[in-house]
Amino acid sequence: MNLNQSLYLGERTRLTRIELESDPAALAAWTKDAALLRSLGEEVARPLSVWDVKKRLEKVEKEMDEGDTLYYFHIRPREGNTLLGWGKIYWILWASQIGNLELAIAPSEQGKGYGSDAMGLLLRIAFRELNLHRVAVSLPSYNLPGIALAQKFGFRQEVCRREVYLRDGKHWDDLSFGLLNAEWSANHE
Amino acid sequence: MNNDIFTGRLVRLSAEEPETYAENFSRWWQDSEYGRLLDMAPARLFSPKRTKEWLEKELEKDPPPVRMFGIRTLEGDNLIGFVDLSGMTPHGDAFVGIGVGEREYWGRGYGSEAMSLVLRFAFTELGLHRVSLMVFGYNLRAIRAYKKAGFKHEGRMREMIWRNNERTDALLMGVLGEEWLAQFGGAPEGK
Repeated sequence: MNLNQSLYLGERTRLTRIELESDPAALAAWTKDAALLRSLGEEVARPLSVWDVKKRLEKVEKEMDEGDTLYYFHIRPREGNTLLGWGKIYWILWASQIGNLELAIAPSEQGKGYGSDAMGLLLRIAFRELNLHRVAVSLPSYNLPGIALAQKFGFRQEVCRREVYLRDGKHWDDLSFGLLNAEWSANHE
Repeated sequence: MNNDIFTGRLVRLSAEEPETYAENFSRWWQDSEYGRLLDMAPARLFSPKRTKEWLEKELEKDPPPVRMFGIRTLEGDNLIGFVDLSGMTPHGDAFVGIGVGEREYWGRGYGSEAMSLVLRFAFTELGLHRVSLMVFGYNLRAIRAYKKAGFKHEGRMREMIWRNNERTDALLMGVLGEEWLAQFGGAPEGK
């Protein structure tokens, strides 16, 4: 068994802990426009203050410390400490060995390969450390880069919940994708 | 305007005290089949105390994040199950959950009618745009009932549930308000 290969170190990014002192300001700055929160799901996009974000991150840390159903990471470049985004494996149900995955990259850092690299790390943790049987991602139908990223990693569309989101006066579907451990493993080792 | 929206031909949607829900939930969960049809989490024996405390916290919020109803028979006024809407979003979506805990009422249209009544509430009072649900692939009776109530198949999450050493899919179903009103709008069933 090769334990030398770090679970947290990719080619371009690394998965790290939350830095409660410095990360909230970076995250809050990304909510000056609605792009990031809208790309993820149902949460109402609005500008968040540093305090808002800090409270949320404290809740995340508490949930991780007290339970075993959330694995949450802050994504940074391989070199340097800039915050690029977050990734999490959540709603883990151990009895069925299933979980959900969410990946968010700051709008200004998108298109540089960071998301792809971090997705690879998160899936390796999900399938090679948490031993999940399957992972699900759900995305609004207008999030085309997110859908493309999921498909690139072999996720298959499983569900289309119609007209779940109401934005810009239009309804949009919620798409849900699934990737089985066996499918992922066929392309890894 | 028709205000008689909580009563059907067999059942009505009722408000119950947290203690009544808790005692009955706890009793119904002693039937492991009930728990395994209802929930993906492992079947377990909840204490009435824990359930009561959880419900009291949820139900005293205003507006309540969970819209919970008892299902009571018109004949005999027996509490036979519950139905709830939860996870309501600002976009007008919610998930419905339903459980008929009293086995002698399974497969006789009681649950189906309760589902119709809660959809009527969702679309004519709450103003939801759609209602979603998840059902397990082995729950054929429920899948049939949901189709009858107006739900459409929206997808299948593969191998979600691991029970009895078998992997089962979870099905997602949904119904839009406009679809439901076109099919069932007007007077409540049987009135």
